[in-house]
Amino acid sequence: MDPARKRRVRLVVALSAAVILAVALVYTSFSASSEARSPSQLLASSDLGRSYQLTGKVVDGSIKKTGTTYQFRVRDRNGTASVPISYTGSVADTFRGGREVIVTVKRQGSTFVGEKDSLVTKCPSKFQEQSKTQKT
Amino acid sequence: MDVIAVVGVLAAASAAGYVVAGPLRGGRAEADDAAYQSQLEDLEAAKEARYREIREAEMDFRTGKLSEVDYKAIDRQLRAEAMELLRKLDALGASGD
Amino acid sequence: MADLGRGLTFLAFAVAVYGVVAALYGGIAGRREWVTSARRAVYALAGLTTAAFVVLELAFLRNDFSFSVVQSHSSITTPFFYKAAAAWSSQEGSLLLWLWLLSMWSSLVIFLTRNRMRDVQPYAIATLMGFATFFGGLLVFAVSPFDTLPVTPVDGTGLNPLLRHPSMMIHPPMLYSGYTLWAVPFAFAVGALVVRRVDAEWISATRRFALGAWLFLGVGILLGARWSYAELGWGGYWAWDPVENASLLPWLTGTAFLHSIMVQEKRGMLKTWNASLILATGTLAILGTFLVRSGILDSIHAFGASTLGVPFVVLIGLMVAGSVALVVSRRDVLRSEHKLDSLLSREAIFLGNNIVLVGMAFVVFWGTFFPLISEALTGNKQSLGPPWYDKYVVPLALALVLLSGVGPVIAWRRATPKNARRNFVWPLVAGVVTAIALIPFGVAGRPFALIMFAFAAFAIGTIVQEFSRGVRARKAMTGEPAPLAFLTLIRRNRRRYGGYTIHLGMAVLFIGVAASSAFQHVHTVELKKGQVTNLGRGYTARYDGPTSRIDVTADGVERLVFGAKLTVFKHDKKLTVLRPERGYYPIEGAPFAGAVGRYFDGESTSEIAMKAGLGLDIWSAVTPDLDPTLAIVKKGDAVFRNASGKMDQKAYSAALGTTIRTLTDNYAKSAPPATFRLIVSPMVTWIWLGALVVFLGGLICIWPTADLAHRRATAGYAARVARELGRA
Repeated sequence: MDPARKRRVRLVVALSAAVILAVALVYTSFSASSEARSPSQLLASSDLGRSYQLTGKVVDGSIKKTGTTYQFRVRDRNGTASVPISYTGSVADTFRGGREVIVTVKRQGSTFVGEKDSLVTKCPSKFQEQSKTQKT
Repeated sequence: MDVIAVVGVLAAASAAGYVVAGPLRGGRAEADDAAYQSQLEDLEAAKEARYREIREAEMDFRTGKLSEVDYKAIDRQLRAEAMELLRKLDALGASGD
Repeated sequence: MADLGRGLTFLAFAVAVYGVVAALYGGIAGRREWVTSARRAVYALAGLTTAAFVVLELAFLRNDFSFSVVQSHSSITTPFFYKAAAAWSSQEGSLLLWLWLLSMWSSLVIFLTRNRMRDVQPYAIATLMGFATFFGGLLVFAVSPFDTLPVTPVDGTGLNPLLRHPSMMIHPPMLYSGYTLWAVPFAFAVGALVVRRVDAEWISATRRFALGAWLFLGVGILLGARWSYAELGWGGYWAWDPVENASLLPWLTGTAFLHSIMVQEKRGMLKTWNASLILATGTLAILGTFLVRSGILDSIHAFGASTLGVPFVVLIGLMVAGSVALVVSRRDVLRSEHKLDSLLSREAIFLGNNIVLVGMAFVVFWGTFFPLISEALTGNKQSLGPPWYDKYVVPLALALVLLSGVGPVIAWRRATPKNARRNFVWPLVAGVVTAIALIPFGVAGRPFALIMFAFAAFAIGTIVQEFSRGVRARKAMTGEPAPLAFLTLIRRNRRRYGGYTIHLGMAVLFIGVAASSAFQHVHTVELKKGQVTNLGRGYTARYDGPTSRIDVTADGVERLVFGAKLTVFKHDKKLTVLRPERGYYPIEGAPFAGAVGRYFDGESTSEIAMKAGLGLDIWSAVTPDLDPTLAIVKKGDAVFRNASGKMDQKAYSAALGTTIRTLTDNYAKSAPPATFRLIVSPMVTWIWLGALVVFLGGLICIWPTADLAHRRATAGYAARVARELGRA
C-alpha cells in the first residue's frame, strides 16, 4: 500500500473509532443520568426506586438530626409544595433553612432517601439582590 | 457630584487623551513596511526553530534514541532546511549574523 | 468617591471603544500611527482600570458603607486582609477585577510584542479591546460596583465566613488571571488568521502566552481543589461540579494546544487543528466566566440567576461564529505542508496526546451541559453524576499517563525502532515491578488504581532515564561535574526538561488521585464522650471530649467556637491529637435576631483538623450538637427581649456577655454526643506535591532563554551552515 493510501486508511480507522466512542458516550449518558425534579414535580409523580436529582430550598425549621441522619423538607424555589427527605452523609457548612440544595434521592414509601454524600448546598448568593440581613 | 470626582475624572480624561493622541499629532505617517517585516520575522523564527530542531536531534542521538545512521540522515535533512531558510533570508536582503 | 469610580469606569469603556476603532482603522487603512495610538489606548485602559480598582479597594478599606457593595460584603469587624479581598467577592467587583486583569495582561503583551508582528497587531489589539468593551460596558450599563445607597448605613453585613480563608481569596484572582490570559493567544490567533499569517512567528509568540495562561489557570484550579479539601466539611477535592468543569475545559484544550503547536512548528501540520483549538480555548475561558454567574446549571457555585446571562450568550455566540468563519475562510493558508514521517515519532505521540485530551474535554463538556442538552432533546432535565465522569475520564487519564511515559523515549521525526525498544526496557521493568510489589497491599481489588500506579511508575522511569542520560551526554560533551551538568542540561534544553518535569509532576499527581479516591475510607459517625471508633487500616479514633471558646477581636465577638478533641491511635499506639471545630459567626446587622440567638444561629464554618502525611491523611470534621444549648438560648432571647428597654446599656451588655460565656462553657461541660466525619485518605499529599512539581516545570518552560548564550549558539550554527552553504 502506498503511503498516501496508508494514511487515508489510518484516518478512516481513527475517525470511525472516535465516532463509535462518541456514540457510546452519548448513549450511556441518557441511561446513567438522573432526572432533575423540583419538589412539586416529585410529588406529582415519582417511580419507586428510581433516582432523581432534587433541587429546591430547605424549609425553615424543618431540619432535625438524629444521630448521623438528617430529616428535613425541601420545597419549591418559589412555592410551598415540599417533600420529606431522610439523608445520611456529608453536609456542607452552609446547610441551613432557606438555603438552596441539590440532592439525589430515591423514593421509599412516602419519604425520599438521599443518596450518601450527594447533598450539595449552594453557596449563599454573593451575587444576589440585597439581602435578607434578617433571619428568614 | 463631589469636586474631587470631577477633578479626578477630568484629569484622567486629559491624561488618557494626551497619551492616546500622541502618535496622531505627529502628522507624519509611519512607514508601513509591515509586509516585509512579517516575512523577515517568519523566516527568522523558522530559522530559530530549525536550529532548535538540529540541537534536539543531537540530544536525541546522545541520549540513545537514534542510531548514528538515522541521526546523520535527520541532521542532514534539517541542515538542508536551515540552509534553504538562510538562502531565503539572504534573498530578502537580510544578512545572517 | 463613588462618582470618581463611576467616571473612571466610563472613561475606561470609552478608551476601550476607541481602541477597537483606532486599531481596526489603522490596520485596514494601513495607517501605522493609528495602530500606535490604539496601543497607547491599551496602556491608558490599564491606567484607568487600575485607578478605578484602587477607588473600590479604598472604599472597602476605609469602611465606606455608602458603596452598596461594601455594605453587602464587608463590615467594620471584617479583618483587614478580607476587606481587601472582599472587593472581588461581589459580582460587580469581580467583573472589575476581570477587566483590570485583562488590561494588565494586554498591556504586558502589547509592550513585549511592540516591534513584532506589525501586521497582526491591529487585529489582536482590536480583539483584546473588544473584550474590554464588553466587560466595560457591563460595568457601566448593567452592574456597577460604584452604586451607592441613598442613606449611608453604620455598618455592613460582613463577608460570608465561608470565604474567610486565604486560599479562597487568592482562588478567584488566580482563576481570572488564567481566564483573561487565554484572551491573549485568542486575540493573536484572530489577528493572525485575519492577515493570513499563521506561521513560525505566530507559533513562537502564541505558545508563550498560552503557557502563561495554562500555568495560572492550573494554579487557580488547584487552589480551588486544595481549599475544598482543607477547608470545606466534606473532605473531597473535586466534585465534577459544573463550574469546576468549566475551568477544567480550557485547561484541557490548552494542554492539547501546547503539544500540537510543537507539531506545527516542526512539520507544518495540524494548522487548522491548532487554530481551532486555540480559538476554542479562548471561547471556553469566556464560557467558564459566564457559567459562574449565569445560573443556567445547578451548581454549588451558582449564585442565582443574574441579569448578565444574555450578554454573555451573545458574546460567546459571536466568538464561536467568528472563529468558525475565520477558520473556514482561511483554510487555504491552513493547509498542511507535510505529513507525519513515521508513526514511531514524537510527533505521532503528541497527536495521540491531543486525541486523548480533546476526548477528555468532550466528555467533561458533554457531562456538564447534559442537563441542557437532555432538556432540549427530551424535555426532561437529566443530570450526570461523578460515577459517569469517572467511568470515562479514568481510562482516558490512564492513556494520558502512559503516553507521557512513551513520548520522552521516542525521537522527533523518526525514531530508530531498535533504540526505542531498548530504551523501554528499564521503565517497563519499573512499571511491572511496581505493579507486582503493590499486589500484597491489597491493591489488586482496584484494577484501575493498580494500572495507574504501574503506568505512572513507567512514566517516572522514562523521565528519570532521560535526565540521567542527558546528564551523561553533557558530561561526555563538556566534562562538567554531574550537578553542574544537570543544571546546564535543564538551562539549555528548557522546553524538553521543563516538559519532563511537568510530566513527572502530573504522574505524581495522578498517583495521589488514584490512591486517594480508590482507597479512601469515609466514616460518618456519632460518638459519645470517650467512645472509640474504628477507621480501618489499623487506625482508631477516640472522642475525648468537647471544646469551646469565644474568639474576640478589638471590635467585639468574632465567633463562638465549639469543637472536639480526638485522639487517633495507630495499632493502639497514640499517633496524634486532632481538634476539629466549628466556628459560629454572629448574625450581623440584623435587628430581628434574638439578642443571644444571633451568636448561635448564624453562619457556621468547619475548621478541619487533619494529620497530613506522605502516606496518608487523617481528616476530621465535627458537627457539634447544639440543640440542648439552643433550647436555653431561646429562653434567653425572650428574657433579653423583655429586659431591653428596662436596663441601662452597660449592664445589658455585661449580662449578655456573661450569658454567652456561660452557655459556651456549658457546652464543654455537658458534652452531648457529636457527629464526626472522619476520613482516612491515602497519598493525598502527592497531589499537592505533584502540582508543585508541575508548576516548577512550567516555570522552567516559560523562563526566557538567556539571550547571549542563545545568540552565541545561533551564530555558531549559522556560521557552520553558511560554511557548508559555501562548500555546497
